[in-house]
Amino acid sequence: MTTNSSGKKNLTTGRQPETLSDMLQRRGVSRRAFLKYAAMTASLMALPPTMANVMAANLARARRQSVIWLSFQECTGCTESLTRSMRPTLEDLIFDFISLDYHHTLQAVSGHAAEEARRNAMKENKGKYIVIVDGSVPIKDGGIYSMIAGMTNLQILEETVNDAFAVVAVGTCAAYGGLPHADPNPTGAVPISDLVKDKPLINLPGCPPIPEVMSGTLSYVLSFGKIPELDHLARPLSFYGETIHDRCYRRPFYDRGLFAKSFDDEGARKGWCLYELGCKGPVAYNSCATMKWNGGVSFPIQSGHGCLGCSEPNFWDMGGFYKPLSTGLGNMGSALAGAAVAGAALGGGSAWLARKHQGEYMKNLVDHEKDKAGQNSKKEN
Amino acid sequence: MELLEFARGPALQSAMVIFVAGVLWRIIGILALPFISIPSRARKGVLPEGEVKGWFEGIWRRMWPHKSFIRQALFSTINGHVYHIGLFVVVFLFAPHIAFIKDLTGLSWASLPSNLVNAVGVVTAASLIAALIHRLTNPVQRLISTFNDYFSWFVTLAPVLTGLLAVSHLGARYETLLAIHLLSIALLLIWFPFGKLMHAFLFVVSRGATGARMKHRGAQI
Amino acid sequence: MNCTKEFTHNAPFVHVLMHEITVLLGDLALNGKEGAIDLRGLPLLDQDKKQLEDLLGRGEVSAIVNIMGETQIWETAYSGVWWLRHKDTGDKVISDQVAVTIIPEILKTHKSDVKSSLERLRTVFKTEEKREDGNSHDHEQLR
Repeated sequence: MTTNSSGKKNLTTGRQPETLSDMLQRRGVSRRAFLKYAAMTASLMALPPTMANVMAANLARARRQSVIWLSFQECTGCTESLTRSMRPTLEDLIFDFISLDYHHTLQAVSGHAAEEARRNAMKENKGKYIVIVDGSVPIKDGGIYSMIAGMTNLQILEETVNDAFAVVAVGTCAAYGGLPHADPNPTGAVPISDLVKDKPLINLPGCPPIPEVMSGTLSYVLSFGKIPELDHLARPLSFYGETIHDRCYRRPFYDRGLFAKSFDDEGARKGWCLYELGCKGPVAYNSCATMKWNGGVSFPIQSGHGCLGCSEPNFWDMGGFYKPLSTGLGNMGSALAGAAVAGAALGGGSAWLARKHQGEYMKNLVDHEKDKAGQNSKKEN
Repeated sequence: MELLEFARGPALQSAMVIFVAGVLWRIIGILALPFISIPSRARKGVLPEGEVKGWFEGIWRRMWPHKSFIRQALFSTINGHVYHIGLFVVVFLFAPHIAFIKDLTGLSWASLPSNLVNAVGVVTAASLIAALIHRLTNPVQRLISTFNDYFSWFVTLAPVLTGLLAVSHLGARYETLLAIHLLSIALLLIWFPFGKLMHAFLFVVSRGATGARMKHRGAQI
Repeated sequence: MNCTKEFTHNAPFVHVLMHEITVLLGDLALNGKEGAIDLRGLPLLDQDKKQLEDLLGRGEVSAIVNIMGETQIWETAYSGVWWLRHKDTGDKVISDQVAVTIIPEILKTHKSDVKSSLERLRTVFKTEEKREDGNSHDHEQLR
């Protein structure tokens, strides 16, 4: 992955960049590659299979998409996810379809040349480039907690997004603030959606996101020139439309009430449901259960651990990874003990009042009877 | 997700605090009252142990109506048993509920298959609705019913219905349904000590005391 | 073409899929409208898929397309119903599709590929001619 040299050539010659079809043909790959790639992507995105032909035709006509990848407060896990998945497979075609013009970790150049590459890409593809962001943006204390080339993350984001076609927030940090945003959020980290209001935005959360989700979404934008259908958290519905629980192969055990109670009991060995061990599958919207990881090898639940719900906002603050979903958050012990003491005191107090009241009443009654008796004896006298 | 966090956190916590404090207030408030001794002499042969026996008999015998009332009370008795047993099964034998109790108290026990609990939940909901219809159509019951009865009925049915919806993912996303379910339970817990639902604890005291007194007087329990 | 096998009642999903294929094939026969079913997103077990494959059987045509892993294509025992199996370079199946069509798109040669291959052929031919010209020239010189 180097910075795009063909882009510069275009500026000087004024020629249109070649289409993806030309590019593959130059390498002796036929149009069938598009069909196969489109068939796979359409299948991943649950598009009607007949859409694959349309998608292939559009892809062939498309030109290489300029992509600027900004990394802010992040761990590079998202980039690792995308690149470590690399076997020479069909998914890699996406790397031929895009021109990654700026990416700290992957680009060859550094320093001023790197920033130069970003500004050139912005100039040459004004209004057409896609900005991918991984990591959250710190805004506390003027954003000094994360700076690149003398600029705060916020300044770089604002400058770069200004002429972009769309913004893709990759990973949970960019989508919801992520780990830097965790309580007590010392750097004032915010998600991209808080800062980018006037551009189309796609969130691809996950810690990290599934590589096919990233490549599939980019292919969709590339071939249809628009943003896929999104849910209320701006996630593509085709990848985040269903919960892990709904697609989990262990679901029948949940329905039958067969649960693992600890990580090494009989239930765990038999592959029973991990709900009681804190699995967040029922509230986590992602494709892990069907697409799986490492080229379809496995996913966390298949490996024996509950889902952490990493594609959901604030997943680390949902009361602990090993607390079942149906339990309350936080420790109730002292509050309930306090409530018990207060309740008991209240009960004792009201009983004491009632006793006192009753005593007085009885005393009055007796006195009254005595008086009456006295009066009667007087009368008799 | 914020709604679910609120429901699992502050809502449920404050509701449980109110529940525990309220229930203890009422139970201790009643039990610590001066014991009213019965001035009359006990029937011949009724010893103090006999009165204790009367206490338990009183609780047991009132599970089923006396034969002279059986025709009028048959439906409400059977229907009442159906939803009481149903509520017990749904509340205490559903795995996610046991997980909740285990998290709170450390106690746990075996659960029933989720599908079976769902079925019981449907029967329970239907039975509760039948109870309301009976209450509304029976002139005597309708006359003696107050807001307390209707509201207690509502806060009992709400968690059953929202729980069924959450399990079957009907109407909204699961996290929203789960949050609404937890909020409906919070409402139940808050209302519990102050309304007629308190009978869950007090029926032992009221039926027992009645039984003991009737035994003392030599009446049929 | 020995293809009429009985549906077994223990795979209701396969039954439903066979019904859908019948409907799609009817559409192709009457209106020339093409259709396809993607088997990936369906909750099929491996044995269900195998059963569907067996039920549809094999017809006269089968082909292998080599692009970034093998793609196996065969016409099933029912003409107009094709099976497309895409594999990746690790020989793992990445997609199974049933296409109801006259001929699957991926088997056709695209116009732009024809053009580029013509260019290539011409280049090859030219160099060949040149080489042959050069050779004869050498010969003459030798003579």
